[in-house]
Amino acid sequence: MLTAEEVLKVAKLANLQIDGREMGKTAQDLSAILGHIEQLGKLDTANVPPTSHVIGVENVFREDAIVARFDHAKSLANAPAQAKNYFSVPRIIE
Amino acid sequence: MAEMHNDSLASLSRKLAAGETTSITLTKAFLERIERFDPKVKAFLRVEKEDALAQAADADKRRAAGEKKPLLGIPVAVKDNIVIEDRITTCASKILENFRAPYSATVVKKLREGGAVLIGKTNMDEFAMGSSTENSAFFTTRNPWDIGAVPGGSSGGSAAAVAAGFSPASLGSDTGGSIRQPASLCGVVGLKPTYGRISRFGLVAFASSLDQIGPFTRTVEDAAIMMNLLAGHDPLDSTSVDMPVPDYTEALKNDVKGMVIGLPKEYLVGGIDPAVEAVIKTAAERLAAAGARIEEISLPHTEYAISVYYVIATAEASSNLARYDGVRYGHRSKESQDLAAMYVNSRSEGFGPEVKRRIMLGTYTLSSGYYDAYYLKAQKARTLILNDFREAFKKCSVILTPTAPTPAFTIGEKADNPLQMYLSDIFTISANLAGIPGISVPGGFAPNGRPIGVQFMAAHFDEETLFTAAAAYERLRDAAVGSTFPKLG
Repeated sequence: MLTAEEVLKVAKLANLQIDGREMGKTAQDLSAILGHIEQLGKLDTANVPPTSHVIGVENVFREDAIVARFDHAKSLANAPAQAKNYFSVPRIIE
Repeated sequence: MAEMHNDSLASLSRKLAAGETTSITLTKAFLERIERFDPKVKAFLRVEKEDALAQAADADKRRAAGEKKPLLGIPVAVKDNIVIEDRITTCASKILENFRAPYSATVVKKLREGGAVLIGKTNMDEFAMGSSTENSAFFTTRNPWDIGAVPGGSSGGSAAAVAAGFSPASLGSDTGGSIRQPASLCGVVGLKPTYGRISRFGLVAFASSLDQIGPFTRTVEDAAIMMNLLAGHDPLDSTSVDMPVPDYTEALKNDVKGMVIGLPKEYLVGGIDPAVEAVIKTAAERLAAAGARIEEISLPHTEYAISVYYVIATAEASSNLARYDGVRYGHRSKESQDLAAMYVNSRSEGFGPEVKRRIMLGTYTLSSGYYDAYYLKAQKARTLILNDFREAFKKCSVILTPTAPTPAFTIGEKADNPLQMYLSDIFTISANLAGIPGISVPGGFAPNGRPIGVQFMAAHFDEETLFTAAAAYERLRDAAVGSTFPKLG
């Protein structure tokens, strides 16, 4: 069973907040799934290479050419806040 | 227009070509049916009525000018994780509630070039994480066969739309079964193609080594027609493979005489519903009677598939979903004084419980000290699962299995138990891990009237054999019991 401290650590790494009410259920659900995953420990994989691509495609190259996709206005159209043609966020440096 | 909503895409296409109907007439009929019955089914997040009618008028004009494409004028629904330029795409998440896509997915461009009429965006589990649509941030879609049951997921809206006769075809995405499982539960055809066969440019990423786009249709022939349009290499998706696309409808003409069909012994074990088991046994008998050779095969690492999947899929999701930070698009929390708090608050307010759970699980298994034990271990186990299929396809051309262990479950039945929900993907997940194609074809019904699907899987890029087996099975089923449609009133 994951402790509250472990859950908080993971939440922090994931930029998520888990409040007190959610803590019990979150710890329980994550522990149940991790408990199921423990079965992988039974598999002998000492001489098995990992698979990261099922078809074996690697290093796909293309010409390094500039292609216009869309302009500033379109890029910024979904911005929650913008200023002077840039995305705007809360001040970082005082 | 009576009963046109139950027509196949191929049949509607022939009627359009023969001048028996127009795209405007057809589109209006589907829109009216949606207006009448979707308040009950809730397949759509958004119906683009005016836009659909404009596209239909354009399709009729193109036909008048001599164009003859199979999808010209045919209404198609699109899952809400596939972007259409200038239209809202939410992934059924609050975090993208007002997101208007600046570009269109390659599959959307292909549908437009083919003349399809895009009628609306369908409901799903938030970010495609779920097996019932109950994780949608907006509402749960109902199964057209039984309003009290889930449609399956995550592409539940797209499956329900085709089952309810709201459109003859729709697009979904399949990361662990999200096309095939809802197809099975809603009594329609659903295809997950080989990894790399269809461009994913414009599909909102969940787990990039597993995600594939594919069609829902009423018949296997219709799925082949959709694949003819959708398949192919795309320079904008470096995982799409540059291989020629055959005419998949040619494969429908072959029969299964002499074809070796594998029945994996690991798939017919405890926990599967007796009605599902009966449908698979009947399917095997019918195929054998038609001259196929049914052979028992073994996929010995099947029992590890769920574990491997939930390590790999959540790890990839935790990385892919890091982009939702409230900076460039999506929800930004109004509560935040500084940047770090803005990230945390925007994400915590915007994501639903299942998405948070999977991001945290993936973050945990990738975190320092756990990588070897979870992620690397799962990548190695994935090789064993892939090897199981390589061995199996030396002995057989296709594999026959149930699509899901049970018919559609009742709304709420599994909502509080994530592990139980994950286990409903047990027969579909392996195809994603191995990257092979799989199709679910309607097979029969449970005693309570809920549909049951049959799954076929084939080797990488062997969609043609998949279509041959699936179409042959469909003909045998139709000869034995015919096809039926849900009654919505």
